[in-house]
Amino acid sequence: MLSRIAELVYWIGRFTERAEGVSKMVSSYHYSATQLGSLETRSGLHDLIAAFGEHEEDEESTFRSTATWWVTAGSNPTSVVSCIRGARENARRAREVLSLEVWESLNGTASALESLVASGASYDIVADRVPGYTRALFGVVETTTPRDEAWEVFRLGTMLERAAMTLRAVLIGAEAVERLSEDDPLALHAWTVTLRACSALDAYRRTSVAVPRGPEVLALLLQSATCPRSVLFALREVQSVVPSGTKAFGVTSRARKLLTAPLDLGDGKVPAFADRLLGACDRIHASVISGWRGGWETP
Amino acid sequence: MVHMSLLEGYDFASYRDEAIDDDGSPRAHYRPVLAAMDRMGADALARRVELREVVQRSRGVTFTMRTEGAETERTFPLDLVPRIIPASQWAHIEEGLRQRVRALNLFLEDVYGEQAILSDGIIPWDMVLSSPQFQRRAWGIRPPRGVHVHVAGLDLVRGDNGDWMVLEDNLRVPSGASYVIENREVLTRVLPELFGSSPVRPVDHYPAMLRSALRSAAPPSAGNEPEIVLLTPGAYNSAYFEHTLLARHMGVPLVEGSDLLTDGDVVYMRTTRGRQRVDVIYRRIDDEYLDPLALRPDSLLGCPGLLAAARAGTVTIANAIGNGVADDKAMFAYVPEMIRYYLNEDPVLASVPTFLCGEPDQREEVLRRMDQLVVKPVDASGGYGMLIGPAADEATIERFRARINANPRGYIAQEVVRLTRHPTLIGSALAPRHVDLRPFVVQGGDRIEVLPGGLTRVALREGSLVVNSSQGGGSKDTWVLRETTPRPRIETGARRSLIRPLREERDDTALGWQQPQQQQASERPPC
Repeated sequence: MLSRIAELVYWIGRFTERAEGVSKMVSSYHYSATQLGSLETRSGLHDLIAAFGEHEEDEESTFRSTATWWVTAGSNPTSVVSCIRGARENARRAREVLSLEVWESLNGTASALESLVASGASYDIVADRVPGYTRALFGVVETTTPRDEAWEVFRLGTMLERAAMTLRAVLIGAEAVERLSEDDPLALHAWTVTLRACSALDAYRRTSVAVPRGPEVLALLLQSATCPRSVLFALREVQSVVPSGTKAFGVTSRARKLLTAPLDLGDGKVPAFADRLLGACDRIHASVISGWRGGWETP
Repeated sequence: MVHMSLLEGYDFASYRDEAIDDDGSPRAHYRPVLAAMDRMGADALARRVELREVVQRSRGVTFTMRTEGAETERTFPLDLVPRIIPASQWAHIEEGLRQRVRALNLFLEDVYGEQAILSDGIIPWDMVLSSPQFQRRAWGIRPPRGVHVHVAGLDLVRGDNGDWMVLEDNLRVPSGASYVIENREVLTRVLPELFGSSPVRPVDHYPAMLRSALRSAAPPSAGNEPEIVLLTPGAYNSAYFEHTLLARHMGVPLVEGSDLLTDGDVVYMRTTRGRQRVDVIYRRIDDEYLDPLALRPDSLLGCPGLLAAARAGTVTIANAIGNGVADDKAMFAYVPEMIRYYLNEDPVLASVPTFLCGEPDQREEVLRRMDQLVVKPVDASGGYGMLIGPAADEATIERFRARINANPRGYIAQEVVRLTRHPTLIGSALAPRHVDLRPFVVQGGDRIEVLPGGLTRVALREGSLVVNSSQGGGSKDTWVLRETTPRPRIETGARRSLIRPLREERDDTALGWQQPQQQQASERPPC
């Protein structure tokens, strides 16, 4: 496969997963902010800013203005709308390795999203709608793409992005409960929001009878071998498509080892742990891209 | 005369009409289609126009257009009334196309080799040597099996007498074949009713045809499975949709110049697993941009060293470098002579009468009759830079007169052909619009194949003769009708299909969930 095409396909996977991830997080925090009455204030902003960063040009930002920036702003290169545009543009340039169905699905998604935004739909409506589109796309990829290199590269992009998104959600959840007792209703709420942001609330309910509590939630989101939203699951998939013996393979392998060891969750260690794994994701990404461009580094 | 409400007020008399006879009745081969559209009525057709837009958008059938410095992606306008060509008429066209491409290919083989046609005085030396499309650097490169023209797109028109004539030869990077495939695909989705009564020859095998031709054009060193790539200038090229469609349908990588490199006169592409050798490059970029070392040094689209690799015989470039000398609009006037010289045959298809401004006596006539002729620059395409004499004002004519005098070799003139018109859906009614036809011819070794039909281009603006999509033109699905032979009747009564009916595949457990519900229903108390 051409290196240039591999990068394009990889980014289709990342952009699509990112659009879904950002949408779900925004929806989830929107749900939380609505309940807590902080939509029009700065107090609800913490989660969003922690997840994605602040909209620097917005001096009097509220939850609503920041969420709008992250979902519908065409001028924000990492907003949901921009991610879908980027995925579509990449697909346009890599059409020869995509099935017609994948192209039609992505092209249709981009066009539906543009119409929705043009109609003046607010960020929460758009964020609500996007996961439906992206899941449809993933379904079409799953059912029409041969399990060849293009598939592997798409999977690599998707899974690396998913690992990173889940880690962001974990990081925010862990920071939110830092000064709360385990039984504090706000802590239970924060973990519910985190699970919802990762599309893992139902998976949690199926594996644990308890209300969402830190250790169980973290075990599911970080260490589950069966839940497709977990970091371990995503990194296992990443490792299966990265060439063995390369630096990217080694970094993935070490990250997996960290996740399979017993977690030390005491005294604010979770954010640092999540941050360390996010760093590993960045290194895997950099190593893969340089591998395609000029040759694979060895560990 | 057959009455159709869709044709009320339709002007069939001013020009020869492809679909309507002199008495206003649909021609026999158009009757079923026009009758089907008439039955549907204007409202239903308007809805189908909307559906067409949706289908085209979702499939991404677009072309890139540059307006006011910005590039926009537009859907390729497809008119819903198909153009229909009867089988017997097509057989004649096909014969003419094969003959013409064979002769043009022999000319290229000759002009970049022995140059016998020049030595024998059939074509003046000056005609070739002064052509900006004659690539001196390609002299002596002999592509495998002598094939220079792997793909040709020849523009055909019909005038008042209905005879098919060649207007232009395109032997460099002819585009439009993907729209032939897509137009058919879209029309079958949008107006399936039309296909019922007319047996139409399929067109979706074009990529397979092309791939097979490219495969047979591979150098001997390539082995049994040559690596074929399609070289595109990139996503912002107006024909990028076509490049992706062809690459996808042929199953070959779509490469950009930066994906290629040469090493020791061998071409490679950069892949995720390192270098991979390339044997055949189906290039969709112009000659001058192919190789910055040998041609335009500022080109970022090509790959340094391609020409040397082609000369070394390690890679085939299709179409071959330098083909422009044969489809130069001035050389067009000599094609009938080429056919006689190389094939010893008379041309099957006539050419539109052409005057060479480089010839003093012909130039004189052109300058005298500017207001009656079409004047074209020899090296332009896309309908740009030409003068349609009868529609031009005096100032424009004067401007062209000055250009011709300054550079006579740079211009030709042709008699105005009163292009036939074709019913076209404008709003919710049919209106006549001028059309031409670009059939595609593919050559692999000794085999020359013609895609049935081709791209019918239609000038959507009323009265316009310019059919190019970049200038307000659209296209039509083009049907070549199949000869109908009665099919043998298959007796189905005595045979039982081997396919197990779907309903027999259910088992009891699959039905299990329904039973309690049925019970519930039966237990419902009577009202």
